[in-house]
Amino acid sequence: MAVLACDQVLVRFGSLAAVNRVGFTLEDSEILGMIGPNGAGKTTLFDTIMGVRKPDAGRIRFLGKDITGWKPHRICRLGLAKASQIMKPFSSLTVFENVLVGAMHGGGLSLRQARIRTDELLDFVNLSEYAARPAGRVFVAARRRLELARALACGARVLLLDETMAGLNPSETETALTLLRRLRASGVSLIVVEHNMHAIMDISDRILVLNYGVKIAEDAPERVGNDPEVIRAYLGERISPSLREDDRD
Amino acid sequence: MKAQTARKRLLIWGVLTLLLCLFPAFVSSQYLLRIAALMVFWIGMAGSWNLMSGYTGYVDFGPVAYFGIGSYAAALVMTEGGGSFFLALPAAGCTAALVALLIGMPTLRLKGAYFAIATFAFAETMKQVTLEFDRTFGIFFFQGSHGITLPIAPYGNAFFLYCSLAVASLVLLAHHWIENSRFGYALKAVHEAEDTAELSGVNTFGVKLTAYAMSAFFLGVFGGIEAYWITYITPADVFSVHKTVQMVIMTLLGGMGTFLGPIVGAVFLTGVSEILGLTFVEYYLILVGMIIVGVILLLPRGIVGTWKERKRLRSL
Amino acid sequence: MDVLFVQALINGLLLGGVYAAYSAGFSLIFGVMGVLNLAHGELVMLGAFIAYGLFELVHLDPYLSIPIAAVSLFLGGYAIQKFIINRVIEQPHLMSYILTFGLHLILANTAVKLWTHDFRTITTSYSGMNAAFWGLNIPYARLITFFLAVAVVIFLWLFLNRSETGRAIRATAQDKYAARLMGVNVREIYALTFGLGAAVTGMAGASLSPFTIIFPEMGLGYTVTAFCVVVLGGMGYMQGALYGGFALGVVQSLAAAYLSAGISVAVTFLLLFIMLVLRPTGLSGKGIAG
Repeated sequence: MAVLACDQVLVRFGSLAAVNRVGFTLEDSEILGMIGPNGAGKTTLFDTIMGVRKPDAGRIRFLGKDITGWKPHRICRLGLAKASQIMKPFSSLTVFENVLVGAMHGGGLSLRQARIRTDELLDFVNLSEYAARPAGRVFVAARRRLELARALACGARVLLLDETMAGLNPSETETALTLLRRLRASGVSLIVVEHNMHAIMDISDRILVLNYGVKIAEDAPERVGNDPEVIRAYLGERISPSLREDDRD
Repeated sequence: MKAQTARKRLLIWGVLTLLLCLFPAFVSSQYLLRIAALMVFWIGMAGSWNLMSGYTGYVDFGPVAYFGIGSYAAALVMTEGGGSFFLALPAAGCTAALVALLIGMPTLRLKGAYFAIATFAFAETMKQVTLEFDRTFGIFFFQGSHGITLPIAPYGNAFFLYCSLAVASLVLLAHHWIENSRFGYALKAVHEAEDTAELSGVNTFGVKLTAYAMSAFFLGVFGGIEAYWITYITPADVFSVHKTVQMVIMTLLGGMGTFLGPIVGAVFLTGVSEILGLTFVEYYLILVGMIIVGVILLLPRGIVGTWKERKRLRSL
Repeated sequence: MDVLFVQALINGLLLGGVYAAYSAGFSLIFGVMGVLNLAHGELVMLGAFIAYGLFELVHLDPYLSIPIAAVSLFLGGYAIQKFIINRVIEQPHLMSYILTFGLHLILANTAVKLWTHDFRTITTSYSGMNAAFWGLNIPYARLITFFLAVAVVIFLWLFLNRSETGRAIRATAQDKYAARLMGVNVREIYALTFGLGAAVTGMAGASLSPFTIIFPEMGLGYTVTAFCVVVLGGMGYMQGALYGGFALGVVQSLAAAYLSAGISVAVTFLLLFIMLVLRPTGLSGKGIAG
């Protein structure tokens, strides 16, 4: 059984369909990469899955339960969490306290249990040395790991990562990818949105491609990379035919 | 470290409470007793306001609504219902809390200025309703601008000092609990970044509603105390926007969202207004205005907040 | 049609015109800077007192003091924004609300100290004159204010949409960071906006002076009514001041005619509360929501 399943999800902004009848599944211990040009509907889809937005049509199922239209905090407590650079951290609270909130409220732990869990998580993402620093004063790469830790603290089985590797240099990106692989190994499934093609191709078991709100591919990385429609979506009509000509040579 | 400061706070408050309890035994001047009672009363009021506005960041500009509701509830229990004062107080608090749950549900969906205006509008509506209700519907209930006269309290100011002390202690206990609990972290998270809090599993709406109802409960109880204390209540009096002003400026001056803030602010301002004397109302208000402007421009975190910030910066 | 109803309707529209006149400035300031000017009523009060003062001293017709009120309040408003409110503009909006509230306390109570609580009125040669026909009664003074209100809204609309500075103001309102990057001096724009809002409000105050009771504490009532008008019409939307003003004026007028005078105030607040909860963008739907 798929861990997360979206069925014909439709989200409209006025007359524009930002997410146009998108359906896909996410399996256990899988990393699904989601790519598409800017404005393709990726963030909107994430928002809809997390309950921030109600879909105009379609259903979302998590571990078999229909969570369409649920409030975000209930979805989080069920085991689905999101991390993104747009989500402001609790700036005046320390790094430790940021994760603590997730552990207590998303993870449902008592204050004492949550403290222990927070220590473990900060260790896992390598943030222990910054535990006492206010979250608003931590550098970019650490901020990303903090977002990840807080999402994990919610006891997540599925993580939605929205451009969490933005602004990282190659070595920081490598560290992040290793972290994601460890998560997958521990039984967590991930949907990763990134613009860094190398990273996505590297880490994903399967890739989902969106363009103008429509799903145009859901397949293994190699096949997606060569899919003409995907290439057309990214590079446009005029370039892609000439690419195919080059291939033939 | 956190637990240490918490215990220190409780110790300080415990000692102060003890001193205040013994105060009437050594002081017989009704004037001084009244000032002490007023200070404690306002610590409680400012603290009640702080529970909601300071901690959640949703600034309520109509807390006097619940104060007034409490006053009227207590007055009606004691006049129409023939109940005792000790029945009237919890009745006042519960009535206010119930109304808060009703009003909170639609208004807590609003943000910033709109929440402020909506709560202010609600307070003014309550004032108008109690003023005009009887006349419009031809019944005898709130008695409009005639006001309600309560049975005269056979106690002096010392009694009201103890009442205020008891309730203010509960308010401070609530503060203490917030500073060290799951609920408290939820409140802080909502204040800092509500969307992130919601996505981290915090039931933001439930948390806000709880804080709002808690604040309303205490405000209602203080309204009941005031009703019995001054014996005669009118809508213009118990729904007066001046009470809101007091609560706001005391908490602001002391430091919003802190434990000591309301205490510092209330004591300081009650002292100042006594020194200036109530005959010079306009001068007092001009001073209040200048303090507000000064605090906002120079000490936005209030006295306690700025002190905490300096301490934190020094320890880095 | 029932004469009582038509009269109430006309009273409502005239009242609405008055409301719109002094609410447009409030809407402008909130729309551009997000500042809820709780000292707004004091701007009306000052405009009215300027008219009163000039009338008492040099017998200047109140309508002629409108430009003087406009200029004085522009300068005052500009200064207040530039030297005081601009200091908190980068902080959460809440700070500015409390700040303006402090200013309200200072201005209102200083005025009381200077000019005492006494109610004052201006009686000109045309004060009591009405247009009377078909059993209806239309006071000239209120009619003039009505047209002034419409003129003010048109002027503001033209200024914001057709002038260079107006464009800068609108740009800053939409995205102050982008505006800054385009070379707009945001603080200067804010000062100009507040000055403009204050000027327009002062003009309204002066134009009310022929038929309103003037006293130092009159401000708070005007601030509250301005809230209501602007929420009804849509915060930050200039034409909304007209719609909101008329809507409120008519509702109050009808309530006063058919129920009781006292209930009309309660109705106002109830209306405001309901509006905020159900449709914060205002009747027009074009206001800034929470």
